[in-house]
Amino acid sequence: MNCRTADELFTAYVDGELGTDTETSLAAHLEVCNTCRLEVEVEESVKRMVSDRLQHIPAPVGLKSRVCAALAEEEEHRPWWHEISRRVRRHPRQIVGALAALFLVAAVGILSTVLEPEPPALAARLMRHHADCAVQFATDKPLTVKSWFQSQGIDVADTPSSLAPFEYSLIGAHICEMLHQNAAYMVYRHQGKEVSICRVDGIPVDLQKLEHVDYGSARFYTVTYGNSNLVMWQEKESVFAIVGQVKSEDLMAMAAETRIL
Amino acid sequence: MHDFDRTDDANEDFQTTALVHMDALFNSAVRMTGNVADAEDLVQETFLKAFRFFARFRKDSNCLAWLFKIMKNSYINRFRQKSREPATVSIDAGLPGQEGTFLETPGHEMEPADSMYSRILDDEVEDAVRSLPEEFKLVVLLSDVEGMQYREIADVLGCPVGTVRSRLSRGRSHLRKHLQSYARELGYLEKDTGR
Ligand SMILES: [Zn+2]
Ligand SMILES: [Zn+2]
Repeated sequence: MNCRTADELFTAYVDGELGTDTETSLAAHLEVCNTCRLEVEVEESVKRMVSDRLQHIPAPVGLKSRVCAALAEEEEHRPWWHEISRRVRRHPRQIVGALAALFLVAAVGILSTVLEPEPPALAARLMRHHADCAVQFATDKPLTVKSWFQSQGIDVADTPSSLAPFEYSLIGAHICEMLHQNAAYMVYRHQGKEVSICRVDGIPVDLQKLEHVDYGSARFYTVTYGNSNLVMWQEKESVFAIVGQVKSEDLMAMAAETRIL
Repeated sequence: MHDFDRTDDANEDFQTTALVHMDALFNSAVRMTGNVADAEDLVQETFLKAFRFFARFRKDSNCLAWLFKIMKNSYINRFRQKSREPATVSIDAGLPGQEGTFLETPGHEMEPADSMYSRILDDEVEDAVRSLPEEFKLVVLLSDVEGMQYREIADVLGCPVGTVRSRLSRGRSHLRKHLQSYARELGYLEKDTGR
């Protein structure tokens, strides 16, 4: 081992994150090399200084009860209630079932699991959640977006730099970590409006329950939620979605023009 | 006190799995936001989101790392709402020859808060950590304050382990530059290495 190869290993060495073999050969180098040993000592002291000096700051006394109160409130006004009532209006015969479920199943977790495969609920979740999502990675270069997703272990289709026939241009991407594990979103913007395309993995979507429109050779499934529209389509094994506060015809046009499909 | 019912199974599960990490989250939140009020809001928002998605949380995985992940996203998001044109810094997610940018949030000024907290936070090392660029700050906090391993940190940040290591390395050299003379005073640094 020489100084250049050693230099790359200092941080992991200090943190005890090197494999045994590498650690042994680095230790051997440190025995004989003062320069490297000094570097390691400095990094160790920076680490030690941070852990010594940064005191553990406990949460303020009132915070726990404040959070619990907010959780209780959240439980009372759970969003799934709205999802159920919307479904109920469209399918009145499900009313009895839904109400029975409500009274019988008190545990929230179970209820939301039961509802998950319902596409309208899924759409609502996708959009409500998406409103919360930040662009993690800002760039207008399609190649960079693709390699970035690949570096995160997600394979995405080729990303166009703009969405024809409108002038939405690529501004960045993010990974939706909360909704499902491997959701990749490409985000486009035009005149202050954002549209994003994502691949919906990890959640079973029963597209057949949605309204559909045949558009050229493609079949699109549409959902409206608040001011937003969601258009989904099946491609190979995956379901893709395009979401935005944009007319669904426009979303379909973008989806059809874009050869992500 | 409140009617978040402890006797309900799902709620009790949330209390024992997630809410127990409140101190750890607050501890980092206060360094991320730079003030107690914003840190409280951030922690509350984190638990609300976690509660909504708790059914999706795999019970055998690391809840603290999951909570940190939610908190990190909420924090980025909050900042994004505050500023229309965020500054950007170079990406170092391991893309050779690729140009890209990550959101960078500016260091917030400390607000005069509760005196106990301001006394703790009024410290040169605290200052140096707080003024680290965002992409390094959280890594340093998770590693050197929370004692997390690279793999857990990678999980929180959603990046490869190699990226954790390189950000930590760069974060520490930032600190080293800022704290060199101070560290020598305190006896943390014996000699000058002239790097
Ligand atoms: Zn050497
Ligand atoms: Zn998301």
